[in-house]
Amino acid sequence: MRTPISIALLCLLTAAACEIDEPCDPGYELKAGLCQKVVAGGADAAATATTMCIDKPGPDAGASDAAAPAAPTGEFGRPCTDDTNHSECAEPAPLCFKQQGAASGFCSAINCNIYCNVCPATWTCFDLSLVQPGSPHGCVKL
Amino acid sequence: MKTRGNPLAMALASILSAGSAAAQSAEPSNTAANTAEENAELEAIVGETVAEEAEPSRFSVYGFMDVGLQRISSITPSLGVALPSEETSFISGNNNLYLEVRPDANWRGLIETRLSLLPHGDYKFQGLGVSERTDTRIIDATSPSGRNNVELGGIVVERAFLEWMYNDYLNVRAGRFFTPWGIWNVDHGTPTLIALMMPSFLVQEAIPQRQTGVQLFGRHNAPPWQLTYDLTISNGRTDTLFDTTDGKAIGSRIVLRRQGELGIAAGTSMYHGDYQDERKTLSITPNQDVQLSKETIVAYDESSVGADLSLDYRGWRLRAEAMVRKVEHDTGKRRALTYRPNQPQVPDRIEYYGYAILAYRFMNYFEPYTFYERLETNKRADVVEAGYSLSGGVNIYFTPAVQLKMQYAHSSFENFLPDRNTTNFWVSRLVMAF
Repeated sequence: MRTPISIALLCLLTAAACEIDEPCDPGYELKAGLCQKVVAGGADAAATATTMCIDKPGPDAGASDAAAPAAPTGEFGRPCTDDTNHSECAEPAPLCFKQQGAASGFCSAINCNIYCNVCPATWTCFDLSLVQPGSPHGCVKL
Repeated sequence: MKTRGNPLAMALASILSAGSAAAQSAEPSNTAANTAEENAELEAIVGETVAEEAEPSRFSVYGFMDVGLQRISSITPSLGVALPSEETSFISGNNNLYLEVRPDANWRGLIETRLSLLPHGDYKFQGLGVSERTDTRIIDATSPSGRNNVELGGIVVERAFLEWMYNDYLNVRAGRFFTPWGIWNVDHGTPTLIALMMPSFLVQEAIPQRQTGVQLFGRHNAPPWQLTYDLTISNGRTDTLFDTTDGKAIGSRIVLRRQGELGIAAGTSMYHGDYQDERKTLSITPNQDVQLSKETIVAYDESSVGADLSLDYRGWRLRAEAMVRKVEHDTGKRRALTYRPNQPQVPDRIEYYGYAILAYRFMNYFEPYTFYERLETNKRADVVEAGYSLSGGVNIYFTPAVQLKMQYAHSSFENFLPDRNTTNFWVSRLVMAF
């Protein structure tokens, strides 16, 4: 889309205007069409910052004689309605996230800011207290 | 109330505003520029010749209305939820009334209103969380039963201005007017447009559709050629009824037109202005004094330039527009997406928009057309940010005043959601001018 002839002609008319030097404020960088906060030290540091977490203990932690855990049967994003007993969700997304007033929600996981690699690659660890005060961080597809 | 000899013609002519690039075949007259252009537009649309002089009339009422049937469906589930309705639905659309007064040959006042059922049923998302729906139903306490409901509607002031028409070269319009930009924004009425669905640059207001200020316009006739101009100074884009800055928006439009069997109109438009959103707070100081404070939360400058082309040859009509918009914020004065982690901000950017419509009218009744549009806004904060729309449609002209318009569109675009979105529109409107 950036290079149709008509647009190019318009840019020729306003050549100086067809440039953006710094699209974001200092401390922000352009990513995916938005100005995102830069973590000190750059992208690598940002990645490091998000890995300031601990490994999530397995279900058999501290019980060496317990049976081997069952294979995960849950799925992030699976539709659900039971946000009390979370009966439709299972590891690795054992909880039903349902917004107040909504008829249905989706299966996800919490405490992703504490434990490493809780969220799938395309999901974001989001502070749910912004939506409902007192809530933990949870995985959300944004 | 006094009306002129051809009320239908006058109605349609006034729906069409001065400066349109679609006027093709009327011979330039020596009357005021806007009246002649309106007549030319009218002829182009309804196929009638209207020889109207600038004869004053006291007061006139005219307008147009449309009703429709539509279905909009999104293949992306989350976007589908954002649509007003994914179900097939009848629509009560535009009910536009024009109130015009011409106390003498050189002065005119025009108010265009739209009587609407809005804002009833409007959903609003205030960040994350449950949306709010506007409900204007109230109990009609004055009814004999005392308990039936009525839905309060709204009145949209499309434009309201006073006009002084000196001669072909100098005319002055003051008030709230349509931004003289391209083809579509001036020919805004359903009866005069080829397609039903507006291009994205208008839907998303890449230029302000309306401005409050002063507009100068005029024309030079050299048959079969004609040159028209528009100059504007206004409050520009604002969230209030006032200008929040002392910087005034300026704009211009120039159109070179050839009239005849082969009609050509090539235009260019420009707009430059600033925008500022502010927040006012009432608070208590540590000394227990009450104080009012004002904070600018968003501020940017914007510059836009566009070009448009209209070609008419017998039954064929081609309309094309393209525009570039540059937006640059003041440091620290950007809109933030509060519903996203770390609240990312909207970037400075250059936005590109363009569309083309090709239509062919035959047997005087039928006009099929195809419509292609692309855009890239270089941000991902709103509903439609980048992509294309391909559509086809047909207009059926029952009479010069009544037509059925139908359009199917397939749109694929990116926005604030993570996945690419696909939405299909099937829209129709039965339109009548009166």
